[in-house]
Amino acid sequence: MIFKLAWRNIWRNKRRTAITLTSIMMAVFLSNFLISLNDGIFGNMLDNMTRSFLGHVQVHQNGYWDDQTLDNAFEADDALVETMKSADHVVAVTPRIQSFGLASFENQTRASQVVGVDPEKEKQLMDLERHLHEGRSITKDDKGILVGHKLASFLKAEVGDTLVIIGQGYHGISAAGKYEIVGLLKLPSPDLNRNLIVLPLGLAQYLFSAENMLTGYTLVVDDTDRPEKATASIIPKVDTALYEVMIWPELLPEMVQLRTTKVAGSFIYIGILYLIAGFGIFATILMMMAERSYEFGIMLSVGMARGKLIAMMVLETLLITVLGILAGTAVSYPILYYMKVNPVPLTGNAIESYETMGIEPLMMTSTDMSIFIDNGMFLFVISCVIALYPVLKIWKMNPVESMHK
Amino acid sequence: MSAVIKTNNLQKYYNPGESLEVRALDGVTLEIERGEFTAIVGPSGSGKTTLLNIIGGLDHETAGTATIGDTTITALSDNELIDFRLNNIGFVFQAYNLIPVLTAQENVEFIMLLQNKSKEERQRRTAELLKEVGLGDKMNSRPMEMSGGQQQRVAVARALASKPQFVLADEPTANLDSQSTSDLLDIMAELNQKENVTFLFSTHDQRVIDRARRVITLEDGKIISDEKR
Repeated sequence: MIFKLAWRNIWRNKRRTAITLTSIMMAVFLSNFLISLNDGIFGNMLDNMTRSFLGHVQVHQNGYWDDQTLDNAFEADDALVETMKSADHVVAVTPRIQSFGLASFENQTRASQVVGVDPEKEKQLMDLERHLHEGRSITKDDKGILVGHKLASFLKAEVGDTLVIIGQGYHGISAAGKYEIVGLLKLPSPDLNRNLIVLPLGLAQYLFSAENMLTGYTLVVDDTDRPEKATASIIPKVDTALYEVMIWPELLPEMVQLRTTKVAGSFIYIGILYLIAGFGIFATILMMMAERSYEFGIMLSVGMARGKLIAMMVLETLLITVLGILAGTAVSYPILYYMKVNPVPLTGNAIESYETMGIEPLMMTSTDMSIFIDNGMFLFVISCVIALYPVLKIWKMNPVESMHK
Repeated sequence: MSAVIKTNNLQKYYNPGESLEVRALDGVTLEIERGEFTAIVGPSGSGKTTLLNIIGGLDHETAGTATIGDTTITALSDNELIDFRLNNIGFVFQAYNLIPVLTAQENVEFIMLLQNKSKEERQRRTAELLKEVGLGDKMNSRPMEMSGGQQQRVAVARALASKPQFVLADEPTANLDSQSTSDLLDIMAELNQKENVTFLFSTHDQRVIDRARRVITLEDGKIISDEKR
């Protein structure tokens, strides 16, 4: 009966309820949209970085990450590889050697990130074949190299041209070599497209005079959001005096920080939206209470317990909110899902500003359920606070005075 | 005959001890027997509604006692009074008595639902009561689909649903036309005579006064006459 009364009461003034529902729905829709967009863009960026290059976990010689020089390289260790492969949640382990160098073609030179990889093992991470923009991929014993397409464009080099790489090798030995560009890479990260040069592992080790040396192992794990589940299994099995085991949030702290800052910024807008929706609900409850004063007096007079009357009003408040949340979610989910599957490419100056930050210039959304649940729960809590008003009013209500008002 | 309602030196003062002190009830002592059909009359401000409110457990006295059956309701707490009202007193107010979102049937059932009566009992008694007040065919109508007179008849049915010791009616005909007033009084008089339901009205309406079998007149919070017919 309480539910039936509450349900019918909220439809007594259909227009007012519709306005309230619309304000809640819009608040839910816009806050879902804002968070989803933030989450989508940064999630995509982090995902691109981790899935296509960085990996979810990296193992280096202790101290390498703080001082990324080849002097902190270590000897490839098959036993370590087997240990990591056998750890829980680890899907793949790939060896790499990487350093920085100057890439030159004709009159153009640019500082670049030079990475030596095992093309076969990289299929589970960088997947060179899939990201090939032009030309062909490389094999383990190849003498050719792959270059980020924007780097090639800057150098005005094409497939078939020969690139000169100059840098510093292991223990200060000078590193220099001429390599044919056999393919151009187009990776999801603008940074990598501008800077990356990929060599077969053996060729890179030769360039850096670091035979059988690596700067690290890059790992792919099954739960990308919780890489610590894998490291919890790896750390007890490796000599942490020799090796550092790092998860991707430690490898990309500035990106994680940027994401946190952006999300925190959007909370200001979301807060304003919630405030508007909250006032909408409160105004409705205020009017419902005022215009039904006589009716509440009658109900208390005929013997309805205050607790039941309070339950009815709280239910009315929560029903309006829940309906608004459901409507907002029902409207926002399909749109956000569509934008997730079909990200909108940015145009004009936005492309450059996004790429400067290392973000793919796409308006991409996320449909992580936590976005909808968190938003819904937050508004529900606001509604619970608003429901305190009818609770207090009814608790102190005098039936005779109510009927006189 | 046993007294259903007893008041003893009932007083209700507003702003006691101040210069603007108002004595709404000033020592009212009365007894209402079971099966009475009593009207409380008097000019505006004479204390009719205040008396009904205290007897109905809706308001608190300044001094004196009010006893319903064996219970001194002036000694009950607010929450105890709600429960007492539910099980012992039927109310009919001036107007807008009914819950607008419920049908006639649901309005009558509502009281029994609060009393935790079984569904079968609720449905059976509701059908009986609505038939008795001549609204057997309006079970599924909402208040706004009924006339004022019909709404008051539903209110009478609802007042009787809990099988109360008596029914308090505060100016029940104030907003009704002549025909509706006559119909409502017929129904209440019939229920009074056939089922021995005790009715206590406050009224200005001469048509109600004419039908009452006892008329208590109040003035300035005091009983100035008590006429049994």
